[in-house]
Amino acid sequence: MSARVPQEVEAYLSRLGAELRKRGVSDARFLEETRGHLSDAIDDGVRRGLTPEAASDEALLRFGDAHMVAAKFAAGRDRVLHGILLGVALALGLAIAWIDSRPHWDDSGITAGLLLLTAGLLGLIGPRRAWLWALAIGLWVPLNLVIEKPSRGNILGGFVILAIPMLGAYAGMAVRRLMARSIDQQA
Amino acid sequence: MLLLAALESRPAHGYALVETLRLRSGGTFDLPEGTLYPALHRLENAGLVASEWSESSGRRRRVYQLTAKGRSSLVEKESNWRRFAQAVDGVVEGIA
Repeated sequence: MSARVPQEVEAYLSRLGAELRKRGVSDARFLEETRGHLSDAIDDGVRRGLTPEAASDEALLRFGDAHMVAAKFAAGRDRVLHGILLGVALALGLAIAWIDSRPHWDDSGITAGLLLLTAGLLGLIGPRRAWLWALAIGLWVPLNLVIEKPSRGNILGGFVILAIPMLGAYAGMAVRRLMARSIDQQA
Repeated sequence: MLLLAALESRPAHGYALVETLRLRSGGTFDLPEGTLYPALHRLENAGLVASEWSESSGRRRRVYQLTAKGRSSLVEKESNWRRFAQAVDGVVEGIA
């Protein structure tokens, strides 16, 4: 016996998909598994004598709120992704600081552009830790500056330099959120 | 460990796993069912379970099974759990 997947389930799957996208996750397999799970649960409820509507309500209640399920799912993904992104951010930040410290390098505009772009890209990929990517990328150039020429002006300048990757990372995060909202509106 | 133990005897899809956990625990492990899948996906990423789609009665289900790494992990976790449970029993019985 196989009950038809009711509209309530389709609506739940849409909500779950939207909650996942909000967290930067797109996983068709998880949604397909959820559909199968809810269908099995509804069939089971109907076999136990519930009406299809009651069985559907029970299945959705037992599966859990879409917001909570998406948060759990995204948390697992985030741990892996964030570990990788942190490694990439540190490597990029150190590389930019190394280039900037070369004796013949005199183009602070390009350094600022690199800090802005790389932090922006990481903010786009991992919007939930934008501040961390900004620090991991942007800390090394001002640190090197302060170590080489310790002065009050360089310390203050260091904070100004740090603002550049912060701006980039949060801009990347904002673009990602706008993209997710636009996809939701289209859906 | 609970999920690995539930998969020990045979491969199963998510809904069947939930039912197994509920039945074997006498209804104690009645968790929100949606939280099972993130855990299964984490186990799969860790190489402890493998999964594939299976189709029956016109419905697609992702079926999970233990890998060799999953089996040895389960043996280790069971042994750790037994030691821990014995220690707790010892303390509690000592108090009582």
